[in-house]
Amino acid sequence: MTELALIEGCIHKKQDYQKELFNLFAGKMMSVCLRYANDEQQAQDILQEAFIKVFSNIQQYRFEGSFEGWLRRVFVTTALRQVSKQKIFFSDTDISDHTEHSVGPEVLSKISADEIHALIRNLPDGYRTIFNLHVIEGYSHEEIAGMLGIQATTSRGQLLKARKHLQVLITKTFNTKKNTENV
Amino acid sequence: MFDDFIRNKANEHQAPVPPDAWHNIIKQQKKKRFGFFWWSSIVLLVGGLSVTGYLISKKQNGNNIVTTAENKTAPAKKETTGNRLQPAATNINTETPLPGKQTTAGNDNHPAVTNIDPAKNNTGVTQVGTNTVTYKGDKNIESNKGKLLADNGRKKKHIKGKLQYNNTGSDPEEINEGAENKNLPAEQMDITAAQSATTINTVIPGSTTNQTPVDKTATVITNQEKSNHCNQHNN
Repeated sequence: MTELALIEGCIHKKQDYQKELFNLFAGKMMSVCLRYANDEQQAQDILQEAFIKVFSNIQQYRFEGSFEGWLRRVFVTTALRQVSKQKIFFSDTDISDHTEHSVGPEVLSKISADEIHALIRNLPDGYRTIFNLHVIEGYSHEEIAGMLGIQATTSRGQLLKARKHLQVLITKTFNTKKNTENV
Repeated sequence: MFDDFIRNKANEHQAPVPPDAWHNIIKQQKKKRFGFFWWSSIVLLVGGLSVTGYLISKKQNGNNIVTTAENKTAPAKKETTGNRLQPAATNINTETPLPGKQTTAGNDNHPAVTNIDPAKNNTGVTQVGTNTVTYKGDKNIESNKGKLLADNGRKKKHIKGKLQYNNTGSDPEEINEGAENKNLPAEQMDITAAQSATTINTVIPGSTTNQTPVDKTATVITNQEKSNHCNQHNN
């Protein structure tokens, strides 16, 4: 079944098509939800709420651009709404090692998607949200500032720290992996 | 480069979906639909009830007005049918006291009538007479009851209006019935129907806009006067 047929079936509220669409995108969307949520339960709530939104507003998709991109935007918006119910604290976490951790390609190639996902989830709330929105979803700092009700400079500062923090985490993970392999 | 690498890895990542997620979505969708129908039916029900309640209360208000108006007129009627002249005089004196006008108050021969003051009758003080006449004579009273209750000042005016109507119209029997007073002392019991009609004339014109001045002392014939008159006739 093509994506177009699937979308049209969902527009006509056919449950089989809806289930098919769910099966096709649920894994990826659950990953998105987990990256924004604080825990798995919250991620599941976001997933359900966002899919209900998609099914009831799918006629708003204009068949311009990728459907997955549209789907992602719906999920990110829903996730942000859920997450902002609890105030996001944009912390200023001290990174003990202030040296630049440039992670080389040989390190990155050894890190799997699951590990990257887990490391992103380990970032503090503020860092994680800004990193997700800017690096993964591609929103500008001005857009992020508007979405979260913060200054664009705050977004920039948080992103720099988030990036450093993640590089440190990746390096640590790589070193641990290397040590384990050597042993 | 670092950002691109992370983006690609994150975008291709798939997390395990909880097995009951789809069932929960279906449940919530049904709940939403049911919720819509539920709320719309509640709104319709409440709307219907409020409209019905409003109509019922409107009807009841109409009935209450009728009852209240009847209650207000009923004691006056009692007074009229029971003891008309004396209480009427009492009411007149208590409601709007006009001491300057009560020059004949001390007249022992005509206790009931002498207290009636035409000036007071203008203000609708003669409730006994007016209420009785209005209540029985006027069929339009129900439509005017709301107005009567709404404003005391207007009530008086309406009563005056009704008096006017009845004065020209109408129910002489009612008026005469009021004059037949079994509780009155023997002296006053001798007032004839014609006399009582005259007495009413002293009341009614006073309450109308005509305000025809009437000599009230001439309206009551005591036993003494009556016997004098008979004696003269015999002579």
